[in-house]
Amino acid sequence: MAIIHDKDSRFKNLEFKAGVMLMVAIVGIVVLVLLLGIERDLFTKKFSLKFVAENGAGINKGMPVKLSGFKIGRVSKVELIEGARVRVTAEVSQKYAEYLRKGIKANITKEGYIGDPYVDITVGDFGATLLADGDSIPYFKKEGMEELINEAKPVMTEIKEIIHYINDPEGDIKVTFGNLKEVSAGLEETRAVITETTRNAGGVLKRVDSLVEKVETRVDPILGSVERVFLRVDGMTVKLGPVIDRLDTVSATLPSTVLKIDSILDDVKLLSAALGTGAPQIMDVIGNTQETVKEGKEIIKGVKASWPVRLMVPKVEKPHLVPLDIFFPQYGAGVGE
Amino acid sequence: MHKGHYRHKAFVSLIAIALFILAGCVGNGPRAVDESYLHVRAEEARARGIEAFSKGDFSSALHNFGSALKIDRAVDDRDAEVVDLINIARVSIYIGDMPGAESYLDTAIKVSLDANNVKSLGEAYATLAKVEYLTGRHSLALTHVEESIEVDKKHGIQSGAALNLMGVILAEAGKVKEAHHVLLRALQLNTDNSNSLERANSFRSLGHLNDLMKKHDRAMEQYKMAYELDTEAGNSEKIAVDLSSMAAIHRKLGHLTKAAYLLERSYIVNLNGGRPLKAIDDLTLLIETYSRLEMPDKVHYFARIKDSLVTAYENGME
Repeated sequence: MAIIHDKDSRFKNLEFKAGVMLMVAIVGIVVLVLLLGIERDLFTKKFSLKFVAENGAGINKGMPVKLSGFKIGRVSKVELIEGARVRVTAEVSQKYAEYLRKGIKANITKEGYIGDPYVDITVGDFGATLLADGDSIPYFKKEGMEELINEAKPVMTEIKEIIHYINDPEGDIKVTFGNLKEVSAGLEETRAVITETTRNAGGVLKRVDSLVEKVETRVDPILGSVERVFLRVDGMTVKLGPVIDRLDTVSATLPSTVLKIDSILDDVKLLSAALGTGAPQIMDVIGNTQETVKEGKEIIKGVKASWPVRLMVPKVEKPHLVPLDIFFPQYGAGVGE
Repeated sequence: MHKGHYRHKAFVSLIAIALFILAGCVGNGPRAVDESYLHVRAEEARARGIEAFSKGDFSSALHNFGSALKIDRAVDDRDAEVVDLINIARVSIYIGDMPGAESYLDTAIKVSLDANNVKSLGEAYATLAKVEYLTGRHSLALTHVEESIEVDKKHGIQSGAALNLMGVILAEAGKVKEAHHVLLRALQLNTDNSNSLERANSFRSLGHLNDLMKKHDRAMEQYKMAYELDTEAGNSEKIAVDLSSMAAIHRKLGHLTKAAYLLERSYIVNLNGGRPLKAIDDLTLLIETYSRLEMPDKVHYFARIKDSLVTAYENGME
């Protein structure tokens, strides 16, 4: 001990140095605490505001309280009160008290759509009375992302259904497009036919001209015959009178018959439409049934082959033997004739 | 302490033995003998033989059953050998080789007794009885068919075909009541077993028996039933027999127009089935029926057909 004490100069004033170090450390800690206190508004004068929310989800103790985007305080207490509602107490810095007047409202919002939640205080009427310590302010629920998502959900479902409907190869839209395609192809063909017909019509008209000339020369004698025919027709018209009367009766009943046929046709249309809609499903059902039967057969086959079931299933005898067949053709000769 | 130790060992050993036996039971693979190539070949030859028989190709049937017999004898499968011998005998009956059939059946019975193959023994006796009945040895036939039924009965088997045969033999021997009783039992058994071939045979035999007993209405009903079953099976020879049997009853009852119609059908069926002699017999009866009906045009018409058919047959028509 003596050797060290005598020779090592670093140990001179050791107690003083230790005391200084300790003081520095204590001062550092105090400064740190002070800084944290300032940061956390521990040393600012505060007054409290209260509001009552229907639901406490998303409201926590320590949550920031902001006014126009500036942090003015923190939530100091969240408590359940009568009616299963939630009373929130916020401690707000006194220096912002001049902005907190009657008419301000609180709501819970987020920084951006996915940021941290905070209590937002809406700016009130600057001419209104200042709020006192412990006053209550109204709370309103602002629709956030979740509400938007909830609202969007049915819309998305509907959009999905519409896309399905449009994409369905058996659906009206696809079928209609297909039909339009066919119709347009048909129109092309029709146009080509019309062009061809018009071209042919030119030649036909020329032939008609020459024919008309020939007809004119032959028509005169025919006209004479026609006159005679008309005379006969007159006589027949008289005889046709009763027949026409009957036709009148028939035509009177025709509209009701047509109406009946119309309704039957409507039924047929409805039926065929229903069948048309149901046909793919029916085919699916048949397909599924066949598959199920096939699988069932395989399962039964497997069960039958497994022990001990195979011991219980009677063995199927193969037709090893030619049938004995007790048939004697002489019976056909007849008995005692 | 020692006792407990031994008990534990015994228990473990028992469990091990039980597991060993159960493993053998659970083993999914068929026995080695089932997988044998020769057994499969014999089975295939037998199947081909039965198919050929059902098509009326008796030569091919005999060839295939012969092949199966060779293989089964080579591997000393006596059960299968008996089946082959009975099959060959039954085909031999169809081609009219009664001595051959009897020889094969004697061997079958001997091997069957040696191998204690009970089911095939009953079948062998019944087939032998059929041969004996067809060769006019009715008494011996009755003995053997009774033996067949007895052997089957001992082992819980009942053969509708054997009962049919017994009924026919009894009827032939004039024991009408006994025959009727046996044939009714045969009909019930064949109906229960859904054996339409032997069911038709039961109806036909009962029809014949009722005809013998002058119960014509009943006989007609039973022939009709046989006819319906035979048309379902498409057996031309049996159909012709049913038709001519019904015609015979109508002739006896004086229903000549109906008889003529049925005989005409029977003649056509026989002719198209390649049985010209039977067709000629039908035509003979048909001509006689039309002459009794005093219809000379029909008589001349069918007489001409009969003459041309006889000529064709004499000139080698088959």
